Amino acid sequence: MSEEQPFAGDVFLDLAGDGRLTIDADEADRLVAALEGTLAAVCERLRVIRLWRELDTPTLDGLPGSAAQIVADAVFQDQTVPGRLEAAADELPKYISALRQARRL
Amino acid sequence: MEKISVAIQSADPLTRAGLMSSLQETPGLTLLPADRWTEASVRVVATERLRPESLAALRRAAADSAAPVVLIVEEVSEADLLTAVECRVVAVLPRAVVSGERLARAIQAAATGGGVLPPALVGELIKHVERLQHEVLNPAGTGAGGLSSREIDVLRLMADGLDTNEIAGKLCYSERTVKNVIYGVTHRLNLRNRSHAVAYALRAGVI
Repeated sequence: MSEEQPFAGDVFLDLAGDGRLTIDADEADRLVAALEGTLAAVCERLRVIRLWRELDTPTLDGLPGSAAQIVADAVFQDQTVPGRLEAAADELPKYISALRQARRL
Repeated sequence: MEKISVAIQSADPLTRAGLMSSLQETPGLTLLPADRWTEASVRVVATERLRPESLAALRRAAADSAAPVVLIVEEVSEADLLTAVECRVVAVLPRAVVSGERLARAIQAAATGGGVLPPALVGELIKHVERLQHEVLNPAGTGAGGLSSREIDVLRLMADGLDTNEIAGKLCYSERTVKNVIYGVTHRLNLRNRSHAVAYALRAGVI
């Protein structure tokens, strides 16, 4: 099973702020783009979970196959690792900010 | 050229004495006694594992001084590596393969680096970012073929042709840990052998 990786957004911000972390521009841009994509996916899952919780009778009936899978995955994730998505939504912007600071032309 | 003042800290006096001895003849270095730890321009910390007390000592050292730290350790987890980097560690040397020459080079690099993280450690931080994203979107074995990030790292290096000892050195694990990781994967996923485990990871698209 996947191990939960520790969040270290504050560590990255400290390192970048002190000038101890520097990354080539291309690599920084690649990482930032990937993180922004991950953050968008995380926010989307949180939105799905919020909508699911607001339903009077939560059910996957009537949803098209792909949508049902998306909902099932998001809800399952929320049940198996509660709070992880919320933490990711808080932490990933820190990584993005740190990598932008650390970007070296 | 000004000499680099070095202080060495280890819970084990024999280790400290050994490291002092290995650096004694290195030109350009001044070895400081233990009571002048805070005056060093580069600090060396040697420990078997980063236990809570070792991490606490690293944090205290970082609070005392901005001097870079060279860490000698048997194995280090990702969480501990992040803490170590936060505490001004700029080089991590596997305890099993450290030599006087290698340590001297790390000290010299630390002294001239201005505290900036070297490419090797930046690489580890980048791997952390990549693993984190993967795990956030594929938690609890719902993706990644049911493989943990540690298992993926080991299998990736196996696919590159490294043997157990080489994988241990690369990841700063002990050989025993690498063997346990491989045993865990093959046993849990009912795989026949190492080759089967590598093939499994390739087919799952995680390496």
